Amino acid sequence: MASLLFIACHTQRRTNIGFYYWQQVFTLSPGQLTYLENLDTHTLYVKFFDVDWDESARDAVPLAKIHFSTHLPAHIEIIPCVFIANRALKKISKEHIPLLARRITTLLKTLQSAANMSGTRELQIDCDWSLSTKQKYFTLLKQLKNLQPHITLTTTLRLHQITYAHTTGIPPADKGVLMFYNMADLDDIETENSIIDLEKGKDYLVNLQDYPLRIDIALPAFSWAVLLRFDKVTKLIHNVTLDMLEKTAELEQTDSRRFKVKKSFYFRGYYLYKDDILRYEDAEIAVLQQAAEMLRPKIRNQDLNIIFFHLNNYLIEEYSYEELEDIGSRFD
Amino acid sequence: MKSWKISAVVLISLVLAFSAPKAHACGWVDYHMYYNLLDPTLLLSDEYSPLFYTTPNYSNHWINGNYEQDDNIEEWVRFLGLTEISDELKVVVYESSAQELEDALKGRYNGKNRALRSLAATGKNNVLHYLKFAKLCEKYCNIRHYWKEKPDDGGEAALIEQGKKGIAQSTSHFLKLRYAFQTVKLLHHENRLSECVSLYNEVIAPLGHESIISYWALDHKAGALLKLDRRAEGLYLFSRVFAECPSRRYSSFYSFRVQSDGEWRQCLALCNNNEEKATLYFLRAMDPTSVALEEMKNIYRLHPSSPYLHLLTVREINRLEDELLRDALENNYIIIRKNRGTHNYHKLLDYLAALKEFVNMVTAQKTVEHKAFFQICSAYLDFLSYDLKHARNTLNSISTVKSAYRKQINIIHTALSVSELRTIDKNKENEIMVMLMNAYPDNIANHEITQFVLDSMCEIYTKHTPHKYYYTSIYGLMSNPDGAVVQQLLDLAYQKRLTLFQKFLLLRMNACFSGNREFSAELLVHDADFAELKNSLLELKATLLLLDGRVDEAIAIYLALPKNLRTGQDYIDPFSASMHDVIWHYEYKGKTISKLEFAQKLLELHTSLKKDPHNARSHYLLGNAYYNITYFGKSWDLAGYFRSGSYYSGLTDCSRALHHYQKAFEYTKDKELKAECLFLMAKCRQNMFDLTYNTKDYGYGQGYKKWKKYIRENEIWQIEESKHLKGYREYFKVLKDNYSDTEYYEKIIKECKYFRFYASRF
Repeated sequence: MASLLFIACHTQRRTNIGFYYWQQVFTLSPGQLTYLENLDTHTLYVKFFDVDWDESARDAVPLAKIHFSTHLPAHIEIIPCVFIANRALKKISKEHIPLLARRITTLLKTLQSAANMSGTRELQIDCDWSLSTKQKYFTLLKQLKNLQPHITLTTTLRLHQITYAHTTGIPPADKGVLMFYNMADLDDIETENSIIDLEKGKDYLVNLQDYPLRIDIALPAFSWAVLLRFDKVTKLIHNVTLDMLEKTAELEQTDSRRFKVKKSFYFRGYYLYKDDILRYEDAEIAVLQQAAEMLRPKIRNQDLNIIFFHLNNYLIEEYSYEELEDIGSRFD
Repeated sequence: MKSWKISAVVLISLVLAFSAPKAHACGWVDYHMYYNLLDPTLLLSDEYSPLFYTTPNYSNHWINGNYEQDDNIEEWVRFLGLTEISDELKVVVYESSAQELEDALKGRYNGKNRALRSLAATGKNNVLHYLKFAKLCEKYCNIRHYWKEKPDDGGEAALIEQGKKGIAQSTSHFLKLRYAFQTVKLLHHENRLSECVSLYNEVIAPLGHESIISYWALDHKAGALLKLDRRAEGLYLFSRVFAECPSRRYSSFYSFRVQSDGEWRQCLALCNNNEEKATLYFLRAMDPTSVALEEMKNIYRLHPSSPYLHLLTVREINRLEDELLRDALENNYIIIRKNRGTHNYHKLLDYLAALKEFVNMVTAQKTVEHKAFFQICSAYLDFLSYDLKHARNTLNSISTVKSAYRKQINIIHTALSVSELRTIDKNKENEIMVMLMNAYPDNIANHEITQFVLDSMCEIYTKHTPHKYYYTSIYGLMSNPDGAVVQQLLDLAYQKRLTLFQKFLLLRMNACFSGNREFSAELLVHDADFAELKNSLLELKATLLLLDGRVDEAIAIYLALPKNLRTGQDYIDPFSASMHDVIWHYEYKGKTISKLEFAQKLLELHTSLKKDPHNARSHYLLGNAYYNITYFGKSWDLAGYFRSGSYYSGLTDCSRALHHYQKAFEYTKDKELKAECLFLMAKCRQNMFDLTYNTKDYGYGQGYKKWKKYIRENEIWQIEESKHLKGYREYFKVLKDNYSDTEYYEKIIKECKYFRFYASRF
């Protein structure tokens, strides 16, 4: 009987696929629009701005505000996201949190209005809060909700914030988005792939089914090259493909994921020095499939949004829409 | 010196717990991360000081508005001749409102600003018109209005036209240039990029670069060129702004971002001479993660006397210090080599060797300017690679009269002397201390080299003497008190004949308590009484005696202490029980007690028990006291000076409290008190369980992994079940089975979630 019930619940889940849009200038190419149509995707989670600490202003300030260079397609719903740097919360006084909430709300409305958006049903706040900033972050979330009680307030959740929820606390939000990536130690030179490592990832999921918030899932659909210099992680070079690295004459492949710089040169806007090492990291489709299988039984809600990070030309070239559709269906 | 993070938590807790030392008074031990012994302020002019590796936030100076404003005001003063009221002129230029300027134009200004009054009185309407125009432009271009979007009223277009009129009508170059700058800025912000570039070329370029404003405008032209995809031209111009205009270095430095080899080659091709090319290499070298030696070689090839080479040489060496000269001595390459240990610095040492080879090559050139500078760097690189003999020889060969260089040479000599020491050598030790005393007669306490000497010598003493206090920071000792070390330090402080180094060590510790962080070298040659240190150590000793049950001895010490240490600080009264353990008591308004009173009350209770061993009340009070002074209790600071939030620290043993609660339970006839004792015993047992099975050590290192494992393996209800199965809930059981009719039971079932859970499940 129990298994029948499980299957019954299992088949009733409604899964929607969405994408993060994390660039500062919003423009959708015809290829991207077709990709979204093929996936029947109607939701984009668009970063409207960052909030970081500005030392000269001695205040938390908005950075990298979005600019909409094209009209928004009518059938695409935009969910505004705001990234809040934890250092901004560390520096700001708790007395200024209500002001920060008002400023965020006002700026969001201004930017929405500039893009001819009438409003939003949801707002997503992205912040890797720590123990020292927990109270301020939670107060900020409460204030944001108070200012717009009608919207669904969502917060991103890092894996450790789920696993150690008793310590990190449960944020006062309507919903959480579990970021199922960046799970291995990026700084460890022995790490093979810090973006997604299911052996490590499964350790973090032990309490997921007990987490008291409704959960959406964010999955990685990106790659980068980690630059190692003097055996230390120095930079991340985004949207690099393995093929790109293999075809670069100045690089010598030393193993399946590592490349050594033979002579100093510019690579995708970064000056690499002779003897630097690049470690290629990505989220292979087979790994994402396994991740979906691992996560599915841990999710209790029936409405589930799977959000891929993040929509750009790299994503549509590296992942076919059928592949992402398949990932989504594994949660059904 | 780089990081203020390292022990902030430790320090905050300590300061809260212990009134004498203040955070700012004793920062050196706890905040240090690496030794910065090659001092850029001694070797370089301060023009590029924002780029020194040791400056914590190297862009701060350049983004400071005053820096930019002051350069501009200097030009305004020259133009208007209002030297004596330049401050008020600055207020007019940067802070006056459009209304004030309008009033001045119409002869209605009756404010106090003398500069504005003067402008109105002398009919400088052209200036007032410009200032009003500039004020209106701010509305659209002032980037400091972070949370506001610029007005969407189309006002920029009208202002641009107004600016063009101002350019045409201005007869003075000064105002024409400023109208043109404002207009170029507006065009840039409006993304009218080609017009921006044209206006600069047609109006500003012919005026030359006598004014800094021409560079400010050039900065905008460069930005417009980048957006027009004429990237190499834009980047080249940013490099010129960087080289020529200090007040725009911040923006030009951060705008200089070359994307490809092709772009880089185009930038080089645009340069008019080798000095300009050298600036390009310098900007690339200034990336915080660069391997600057490659760029330094190019700079040297192009422009051997470039001042950039000096800055980059010191910067690279400081970066190496950050890796090799760590204050955690087990990671300090000099200490590792001295002790013939193994290390993993091979790649860095290869880089160091290549850098040294380059510096030596430059030094060997006959035409080299500032030879002594490069010799000092060479000697220091020898030191960093633990080639002490070579370093000494190079230092001895330097001929310079420059006092700053001499100071730097002395620092390296001192570092060499202390690094050569492998065993205790009193003569050598005195020699090193005399070097420090001569170098820093006014304040010997607070220098990088002082810290290096102190730590290096303590490392030797710790190895070669039975005394463990040498490498003990006073905060470390208070966090984790060791009676033997406290006594050794006390003995040393009372010792008559002390070496210079021992005196120095004690004076530094004393300074932690006296609040006077700096002290002169002269103090080392006189007898010192280290009064604050002695008293603080005695107070610590008394507390340790108290915990050891030697209450009467503790009282004797407390009574002999000065009043401020004996009764100066109030603690939460530990003799009352609490249902919930609340350890932070900022808003506590209940009864407080001094340490002496606490000790006296303890003695009184123990004395009463000797007369009446079955006195339940005395046992109950002692149980409370011994519970509350543990890590878990509200009066933890009576027994400790530090409490960690991430691991169990200080006094954690609840067995003494448990013993007295058991006795109180046994001897009392009051059923309510029995119920309370059972609950308090259960608290002790719960802490014992946590100490055994839950490391709590989830914050750092190995402890984090243990905690992770613990949590992974145990759900919350499993943990509670585990307490029950492992026999740690025996008192809850008795409470539940036999005391459910008490008022105390009613109270705890409502207020204690643990007990409620237990009562409902087991």
